[in-house]
Formats: sequence, structure tokens, C-alpha cells
Amino acid sequence: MAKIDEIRQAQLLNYALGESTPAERAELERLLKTDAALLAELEEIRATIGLAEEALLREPIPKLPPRMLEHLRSEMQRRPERAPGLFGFSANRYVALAAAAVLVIVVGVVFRNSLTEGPAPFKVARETQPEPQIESAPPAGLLDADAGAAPESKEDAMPIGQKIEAFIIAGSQNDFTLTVAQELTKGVPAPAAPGAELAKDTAQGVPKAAMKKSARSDNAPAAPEENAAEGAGAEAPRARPARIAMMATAITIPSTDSLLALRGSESAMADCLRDGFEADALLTVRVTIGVGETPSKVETVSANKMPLRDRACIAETVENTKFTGAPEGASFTLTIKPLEN
Amino acid sequence: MTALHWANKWIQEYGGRLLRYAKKLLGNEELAQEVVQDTFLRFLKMKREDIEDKLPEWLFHVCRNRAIDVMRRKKPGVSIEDAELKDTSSSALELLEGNERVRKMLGEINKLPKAHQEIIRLKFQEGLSYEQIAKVTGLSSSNVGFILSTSLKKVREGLGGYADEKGGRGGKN
Repeated sequence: MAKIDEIRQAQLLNYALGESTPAERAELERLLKTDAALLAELEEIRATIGLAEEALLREPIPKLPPRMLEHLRSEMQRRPERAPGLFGFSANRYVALAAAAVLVIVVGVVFRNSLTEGPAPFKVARETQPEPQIESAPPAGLLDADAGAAPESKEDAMPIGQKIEAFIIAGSQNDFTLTVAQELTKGVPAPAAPGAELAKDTAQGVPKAAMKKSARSDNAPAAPEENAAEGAGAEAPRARPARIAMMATAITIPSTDSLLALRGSESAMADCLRDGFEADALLTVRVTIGVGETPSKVETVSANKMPLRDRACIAETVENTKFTGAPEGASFTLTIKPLEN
Repeated sequence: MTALHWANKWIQEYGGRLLRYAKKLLGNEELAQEVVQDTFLRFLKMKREDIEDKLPEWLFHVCRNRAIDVMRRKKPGVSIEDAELKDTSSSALELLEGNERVRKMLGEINKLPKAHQEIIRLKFQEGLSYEQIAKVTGLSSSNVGFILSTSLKKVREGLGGYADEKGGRGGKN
């Protein structure tokens, strides 16, 4: 019997398993008609396949434990809107997309104005030197975009942990950002000033002190106007929820690795990346993490590449992720922009 | 079929199979359950249209990555090749009393490198195609085919004449 090389054996296996290409199949069938050794080899391969299947299929399929099934059922019931395909998009995603559309319009108007009328009507707030004029004249479009519903009624309508708290737009001629702050399930007690600051932002629907460029600025000293507003504010200090701030340029895509760092390697974010079998395009992701009222720790995670096609998955995962590993009072700023060449 | 029914159907159909797969990867029942639960929680967060046409390989792929995460948590730097690819909770061989050929076949499969065992199981136990296995493992389809071929050759050599006593199944072509 002629020795059959490994390549031919692999071709025979492919043939026996129905994995041959049409060309391979045609060639093998032609050879099998005249080559008895090849035919014998094919029969041996088939016998081995049959025995392997018989052996492996006898291994019992375990059952999922009842408590796991119960957990999965409750998860399906708890978030029916997250069940695959039920709505396609989550409500938060619709809101975020609408906000992104508003942002693009506002940015276009502001940029055009800045070219024709001099300085931009609003700037990114500096954490070290708050600029009162930032608060003084937000564009009308911005006010309209944010004042769609009374903040109190919004809070009543949506449970903490599921809602997008506010849309904050900040920008300059070259750097426009959209921040989506999302309240988490677990609030953390906060001193009066930040609590009132948050309440004021929400109550007025104006991107006041929250017009900040990074997580650090979330905790920066309030601007004079903010302090004045606090003095007149009717709301008592309240528990301030930990917040995630997602800052994106034109698109709203949260990051992965900052959250991965917080939650360890088991983060669902990791799989979001891994599950993208192909990457059509890449984004850079920069993450800043600020902790504490006066940030004692500010980290900038180096830019990472993220497959564009996974953005929906990543966005949805971030919306649903509970940041149990996050320190109290932490806020996160995720800045995403197209990959620089 | 509603989305919930659809999701439930897949959990019922693939839950046990993923658990068996994860147990082989991890050699630990509890960790395997954790991995499978995480896999399905991920599944429930996905949009149906994003995964529907590739769901079996997607489930095994996520399950595998989760298992690797768990392995690395236990032992940083570990790979599938290093992992104990065996089910310690129940011996499949013990369930095959009286069938010497099948018992010997499983014994030969268990002698293969761990990564090769995984591919053999994905093919002959889970019925995945080369392309699906490639997506689960990150290998190329041709590499999957070659590994299967060399692995089966070793198994045949180990079996001696056992495989030939059993009539093979017909080829698909």
C-alpha cells in the first residue's frame, strides 16, 4: 500500500466530513476511482470518525443547576427590554443618539459662528480657573435640548441605575465633546456643595458646573455663580450617585479598558472586544478616572484601539454594567475619537 | 417567537452543552457553572440580530474566553494548552462499561494535547464546522482541519485495529 502523506490524509478527512472545497472534492473523487489505497484510507478515516462520534456523544450532557436557570429567568424578566431583539435599541441608546444628533447641530452652529463672529460662545471649563462666562450664556439650542422634561419628573419616571441623568455639552473650536452622565444604582453620600451642584444642573436643565472636560473637573471647586445658586437652592444636600461620564466626540461610545481595569479581567467589556471577529475600523479610547472630591488619584489610561463594529455592544454593555469595583465617589471620563494616523 | 422565548430556547438547548465544554476546559464544576452563567448573561444583553446567524460559535467563543479569564485568574499566563482539559466531576470512561472500543477511543482522545482535544470535541461532540471552530478558537479553518487530521491519525495509531472493527459513517460528499 502506498504511503499517503499528511496533506492527502487531511484532504480525505475534509472529504469525509463534508468540508472539502468543490475542487478538492472533484479531484479526490477522480483519484478514488482508481486508487485502492486511497479508498482504503478513506474508509479507515470514516471508521475512526464514527467511533470518535460514538464515544464523545455518549458523554452525558449535564443540566444547568436550577438556581442558575432561575437567575437567568429573573434576569430576562427584570430587563425585558434588554432581551435580544425585543426593541433592538434600548431607550437609553435612543436618547443618546438623539443627543448626539443635537450635538452635531450645535457644534456646527457654534463652529460657524466662531468663524464669523470671533470667539466661540462657550468654552470648555477649566478645572483650576472656572470661567463665569461659561455659565452665563449657553446657546439657546443647548437649553432647548436639555429642557425637554422637568428634571423632577424625569427622576420620578426612571429608576436610578437605568437613566441617563443629563446631557452636557462643552466645546471649543477644536474640541467638542458630549458628556452623558448616568446615575448608578448605588449612590454615595456627598457634601452639600456637589449635591447642590448636581441638583442645580438638573433643575435648570443647563450644563452649568458639569461643563467640564474631565472627571477631575466634576469635583472641582464650584464657580462663583454656582455658589450663589447653591445659597438660593431649595434642595437640601442629598446622596450623590456615583456617576459615569462618557465623553465622546460626535459619537457616543464608551470605553472598555478603564472599566476592565476596575472590574478585573472578567469584565464583560473584554469580551465585547474579543467577540468582534473582524475590525472594520479603529478608534482610540482614552480614559480618565478621578476619585474623591479633590481628586487624590487621576489616571489616564493610554489610548487603546477599539473595533468600530463593536460600538453598539460596548455601549450597551456600559449601560448595563454595574461598577461594583469602582471606589466610592469615582467618576469616569471616557474620551473617544477616531484613530489618528 | 418572542425574544424571550427565543432566548430561553437557546439557553435550554445550549446550556448543558456549554457546561460540559466549560467543565472540560476548567476541570471544575462550580467554575464551569460560573462561566456558563456569565456567558448567558452576556447573551441576554446582545441584540438578537447581531448574533442570531452565528449563535453556536458565539456562545462557545464567549464561554471559552470566560474560561480562559477564570484560568488566568487562578494562574496568570495559563493557556488552554496548559489547562487541565478533563472533567474531574465524573469520569466519562466509567459511564462506558462494557464498551471496550468506545472506552479505548476516549482514552486515546484524552492522550492528545489539550488544544487538540478541544478541537476534536467541538467537531465530533458539538458538531461545529471547521469555520465555526475557527471562530471559537481563533485558528484558521485550514489549521483546524489539519489539527483534526493529525489528531485522528494519532488516535487511529493508538487504537490499532479497533476503529476498523466499527463500520464508519458515510462520507458527506
